[in-house]
Order: sequence, then structure tokens, then C-alpha cells
Amino acid sequence: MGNNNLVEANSAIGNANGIVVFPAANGNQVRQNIAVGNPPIQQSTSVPTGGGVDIWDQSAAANGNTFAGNMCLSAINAPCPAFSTAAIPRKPGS
Amino acid sequence: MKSLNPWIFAASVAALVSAAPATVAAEDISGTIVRTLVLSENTRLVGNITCTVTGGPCIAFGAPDITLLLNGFTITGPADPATGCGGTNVGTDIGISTNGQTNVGIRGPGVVQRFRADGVLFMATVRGWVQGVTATTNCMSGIRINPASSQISVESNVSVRNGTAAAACGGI
Repeated sequence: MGNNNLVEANSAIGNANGIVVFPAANGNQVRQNIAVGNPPIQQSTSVPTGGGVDIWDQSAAANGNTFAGNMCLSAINAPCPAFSTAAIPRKPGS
Repeated sequence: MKSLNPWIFAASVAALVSAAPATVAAEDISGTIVRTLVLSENTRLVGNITCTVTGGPCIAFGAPDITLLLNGFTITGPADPATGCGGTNVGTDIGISTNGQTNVGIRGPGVVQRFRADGVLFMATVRGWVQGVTATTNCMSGIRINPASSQISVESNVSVRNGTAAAACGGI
């Protein structure tokens, strides 16, 4: 990813990585995306050293890339929201 | 000589004008592409495209300020049809490259799939956008903005099953 770009409202699912911000990138906004299931389970088990996450910010913090409102489960140097389980219906008595 | 009824004459001209094709401001493309197609004007797909190009992008922008409209169709590259990528990436085999052009865009809905490099690559482009495109089973990234590109908007796209474990690429 280069500079001063906007990545918004995309869905990235089952890729080697979901959304990647490369080391030299700066001033990018990554927001309101859904990035889950990256890498796919098949790849993770067959090539366990392959790595891969939903969102990966490879740039330095000083580069000013921002992440906001993305839905992800795994990330490096980028926030994934902590999903509340309070709203999940539960079996009575459990 | 019998003169023409002016009302009938006027009606005939109107019918001819309305039956004639509208001025075509865009190029329509479909079918098989065997060497890089360079776009010089607004272009839209009017059918699916099968691409057999190797060693370069299937479609490359050749002028600034133009748009490629996928129009609901699919662009399919030469990667393995059964497994999508299913092999090693080939960095030159790109689906759509902006090719250094300024202010160019790609609009879906539509699918870009099975290319051995990136599905959509913003290459040294200032101001550009891709919107509503599904990029799947490409061997590198589904949509990639290279480091020399800036002010690109990637919005409302779907990127599924792109990249390989060997390449730190991804959906976007």
C-alpha cells in the first residue's frame, strides 16, 4: 500500500492475509472493513509456518496509518475490537 | 413529381435517428484476450472475459481520467481453474493494472479471478479508485496499491481466497 489511501467498507475473507499495510506506507486510512478468516483454515493447517492475519500493519507507528471500526479476529499492530458476548442467547440455566 | 408529405417525411427522419446507435463514448469488450489490452477511453464489459495473457497484465490503463466498468461480468485469468491459484505466483500476470495512469477507476459489480499475480494493481497511480469488485483466487493480492501510488480509494469490494502462504500478500 502506498500513501494517503482510503480502504473502506471492504470484505476480506479467506486470503493469505486480509488487509496488509506495507512498511513504507504512510497516511492511509483503513476503516469499517470486515476481515475475518485470514488465512483460511486449509492453508493454516497444511502450511503452518505461513502465518497470516486478518489485518497486518507492517509500517512504523510514526507513519500515521490509522485503523478504525474494522471487524477482525487477528491482527498485528492494528486493533481488533473486543466483541461482547453478552447479546448471545444462552440456554437457560447454563 | 409527387411531393413528399412533410409530416410523413419528418416522422421518417425521427424514426431513423432513434433507430441509429447512440453516440458511443465507451468501448465495449468481451471474449478472449490474448495480449495486453490497453484502454484509451472509458470501457465496459458486455460479456465475460477469458484472459490468456502471460508476462504482462490482461488489461492495462493507457490514458488518464477513464473508467473500466465491469458491468456484472467476470474476468478470468490463466491460473488453475480447479484450485484458483493452486501454484506459485508469477508477478507479471496481473488482471488489471492502472499502469501509471492518473485518476482512473474500476467499478463493479464484477469479478476478477485466477490471475497469477494481483487481481487489481494500482501501479504508480495518483488518484484512483476501485469500487464494488470481487477479487478471488488470485495468487498475490486481490487488490493491491503499490508503494508509488497515492490517493487511492478502495471501497466496498470483496476479496476472497487470494494470495499464497509463500507471499505476504492478501485480500487488500
